[in-house]
Amino acid sequence: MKREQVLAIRREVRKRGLNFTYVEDEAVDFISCQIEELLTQGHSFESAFQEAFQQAAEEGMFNLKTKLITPKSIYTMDMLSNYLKVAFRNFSKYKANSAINLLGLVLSLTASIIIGLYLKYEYSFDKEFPELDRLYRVNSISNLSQNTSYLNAVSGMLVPVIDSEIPEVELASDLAIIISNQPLKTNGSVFFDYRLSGVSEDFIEMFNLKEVKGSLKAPFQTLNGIAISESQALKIFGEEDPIGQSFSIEQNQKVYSFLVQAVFQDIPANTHFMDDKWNGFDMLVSMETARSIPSNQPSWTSINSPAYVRLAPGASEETVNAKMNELVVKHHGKEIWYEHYLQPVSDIHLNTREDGISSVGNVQQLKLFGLIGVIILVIACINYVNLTTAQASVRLKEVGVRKVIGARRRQFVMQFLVEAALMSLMGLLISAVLVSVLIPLLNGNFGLHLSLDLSSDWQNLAGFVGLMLLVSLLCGTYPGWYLSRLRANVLLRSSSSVKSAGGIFRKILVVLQYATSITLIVATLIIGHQMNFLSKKDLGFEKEQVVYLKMGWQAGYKYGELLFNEVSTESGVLAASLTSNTLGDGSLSGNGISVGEAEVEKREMHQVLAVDNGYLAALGLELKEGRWFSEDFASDRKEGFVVNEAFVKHFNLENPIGTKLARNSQNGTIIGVVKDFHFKSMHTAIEPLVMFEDDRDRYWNIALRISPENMGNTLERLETAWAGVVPDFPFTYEFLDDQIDQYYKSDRDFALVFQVFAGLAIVVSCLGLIGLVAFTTRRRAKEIGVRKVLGASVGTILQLLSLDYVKLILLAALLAIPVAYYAMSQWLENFEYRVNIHAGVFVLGLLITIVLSWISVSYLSVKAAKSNPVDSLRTE
Amino acid sequence: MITSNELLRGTLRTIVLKLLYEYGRMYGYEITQRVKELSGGEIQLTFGALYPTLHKLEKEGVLTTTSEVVDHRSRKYYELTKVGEATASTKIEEYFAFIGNMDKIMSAQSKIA
Repeated sequence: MKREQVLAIRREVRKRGLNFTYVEDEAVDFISCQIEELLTQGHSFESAFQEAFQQAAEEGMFNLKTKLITPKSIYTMDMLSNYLKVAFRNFSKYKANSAINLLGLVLSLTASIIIGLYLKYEYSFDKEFPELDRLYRVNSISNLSQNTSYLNAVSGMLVPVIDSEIPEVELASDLAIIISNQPLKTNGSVFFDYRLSGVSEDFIEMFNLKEVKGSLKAPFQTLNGIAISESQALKIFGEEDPIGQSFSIEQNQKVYSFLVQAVFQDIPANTHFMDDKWNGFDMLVSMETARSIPSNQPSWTSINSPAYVRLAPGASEETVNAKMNELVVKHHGKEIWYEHYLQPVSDIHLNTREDGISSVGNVQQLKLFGLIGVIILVIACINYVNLTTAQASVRLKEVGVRKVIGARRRQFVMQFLVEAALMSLMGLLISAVLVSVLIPLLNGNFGLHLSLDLSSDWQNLAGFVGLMLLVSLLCGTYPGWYLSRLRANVLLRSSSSVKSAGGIFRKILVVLQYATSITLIVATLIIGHQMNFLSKKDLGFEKEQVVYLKMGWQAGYKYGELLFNEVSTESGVLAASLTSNTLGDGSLSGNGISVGEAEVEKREMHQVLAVDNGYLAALGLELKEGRWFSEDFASDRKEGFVVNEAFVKHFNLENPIGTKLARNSQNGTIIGVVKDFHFKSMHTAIEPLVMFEDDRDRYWNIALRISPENMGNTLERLETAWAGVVPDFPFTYEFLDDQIDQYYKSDRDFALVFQVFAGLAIVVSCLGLIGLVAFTTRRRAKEIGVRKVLGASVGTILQLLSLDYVKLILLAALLAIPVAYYAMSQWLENFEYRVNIHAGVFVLGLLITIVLSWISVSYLSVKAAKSNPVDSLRTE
Repeated sequence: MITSNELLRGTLRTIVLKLLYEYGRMYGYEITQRVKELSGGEIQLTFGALYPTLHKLEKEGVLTTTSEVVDHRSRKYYELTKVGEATASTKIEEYFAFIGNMDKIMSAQSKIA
């Protein structure tokens, strides 16, 4: 038979599904023999071909595939066990390389797993509520001041109206804070730190509150019945059964008494209720009970409590928005200064829709973290690929022999995949241990609630398996593909003639790796600069040694003046002043302000701060013009205003002193101007500020400058003084510098995370470099030997070896600098007051990288340079 | 095919072993042809029956194979290993013993009938 004829037979056999190697050959031979026999009987090739295949089909030849499944899988198992055997052999043969690979994988997997868990946690917020896609919070856009502001609150009038008049609203409830942190008394004990809110019965259903004891329906049927959270129940009543117990709360000289009728399960930490102390609740009463407490009468013009709705299936958000706004105007009777809109509850934490309301979660930051996780993982995979292909030059013989025996391309890829899978499995197991050790530390330091629960959380398990597959694929595919591409005769000819495997590709990978490391290092340096700048910058006041006694307005109303008189004369107190907000609160109240003879309608919202005579000294502010409030001018309390420079600039006042100013219903003149000071964080520019003196019973903080000597004693005396004057509220104080530090806590956390990741990235990159240099020195041993024989010094050899990777690092720096510059400029935009990025940072970053790399490979290079040429040249 | 499949299935291994024991080295088609010839056309082995048996025997270490290129295609020859030779002779002995016993049983029954 002719070659073409055999080929035709082979094609037909394959077409009919017998396309696995050994059967195929047999079948081709078998059919060929039949055809040959038919040919000798005088058939033409075509008819013989037809007949042979027809007969073969009748005899079931092509059904053989199904019959052979068992032997085939045995065969696969055999190959798999062979791959595993070879993999383990290679691990133990190239211990150093394998250790580097494993270490790199473990470090980066640990980092990525932690990032993954963190992302999962952040995205898990508010996802457990029923009918989540129809659950919304009603927010407001206020047009009262010159800047539009967004509030997560509505008027107390809104909920009953929308509940009854908008058919799309299925469930609706306020979450109105009624009383918080007032003395709560039961059985002779006093408790603070709780939030009592009024809700409608719908609230229970919307947020799926689960009753632990009693009935959650009861408080909605009984006036003054109350439901409390499990943890509050434990705090107040201990092991006793709280149902049927009662407690009383005093507010504004009135005593309210509540009957505990239900205990509900604590709200999980990953809900927006726990994000912010003003969103949360741990005691609930009905709206009827809430309204029976006098200070809580609702009006359309005051928006003060959050509200939630569940829409009917298929209802449109826009329609409901429009209907709400119409109803507000209709019931209020005229146009009003705010508008409502719905925000999905599932989006409150991260606010991916950018709904105006600021959110606790930060999507940008999460995305950045995710990116860093991926980058670190990729760096480790690059390491693996680099080391494996480099090492392959040593393993080329193995590959060659396999090829000659008949290994197929697929099988090579498979072999390297198995090795990579084995490696990543080991790495993952070690990382899992590391992660579970690290999680308690992270949760403790950053207030997180991460957990690595593989047995009951299928998502974690799926993530784990997915990660392993991904890493195996990333690591194993290229080396297998690359090596199988080489021709067997080249591979086997002679080891010395084989070129370094994948030279250029590997160099690109190293450059990429270093580019990311340098970017991260430069970023870390710039973040460090900025944080340093923030802590060193002159704030315009002296934040050290300032203590705020925090009375709250209830205690301030009753005891403020008395307490102030008592503590201001304590020894150790250098200056004291009653005041409203602290400078560490991060926000001040806003009032309608006008300058000169402007009409009431033209007022602008500006920030105000209530101060007292001693404030200038207590905070160490600097006067620029005029004078501070003084006891000598009785009119100051009624008519005096002190403003800051930004205020003067905003209103273009040429002679600010004596200018008329009106604040709400108070009219007066400016008596002084202080130099600008940072009354908010440095994320924002200094805005105009008006300071005034209030009635003595309307302050809620006392600012004290205390002497640095014997601070402990001073605080103790302050506590005694407080206890003497304010019996029913606990002594609460805070240092101003601690409070201000809180402004930058998230920035500092961010900086810390960056430092850790930058460190990891550079360590993993250096590990990769060690592997590469180990390989090059081995491969160039003969070259080094010849050079030394010809008279090269250790120094020249070192130079030669270093030049290789220093070139790569410089190239990486070229790539990294623009990226880092752009990214960090973006980040610095977050701060109104910030450092400049100058060239020094890049030089420093580059130097750090080069030095670290040099150190990590110095041992290997020096060893290679110092080696005796006799050893390497002996075989020639 | 005259001989029933059921009977053939139980004896296929024995047939292959016997042939290889007698003739040494053979390839797949050759085996089918030889069986056909020896049985006077009564027994026709199909590829589908023969190949899995050969493959199994090879796996068990009874057979060993060598490949040759014949007329532009590769052909696999089967041969008994040392172990295989022992297995083959046992199998053949077992076969005759079995047939003897079968014969007794079958003839005895026919007398009663």
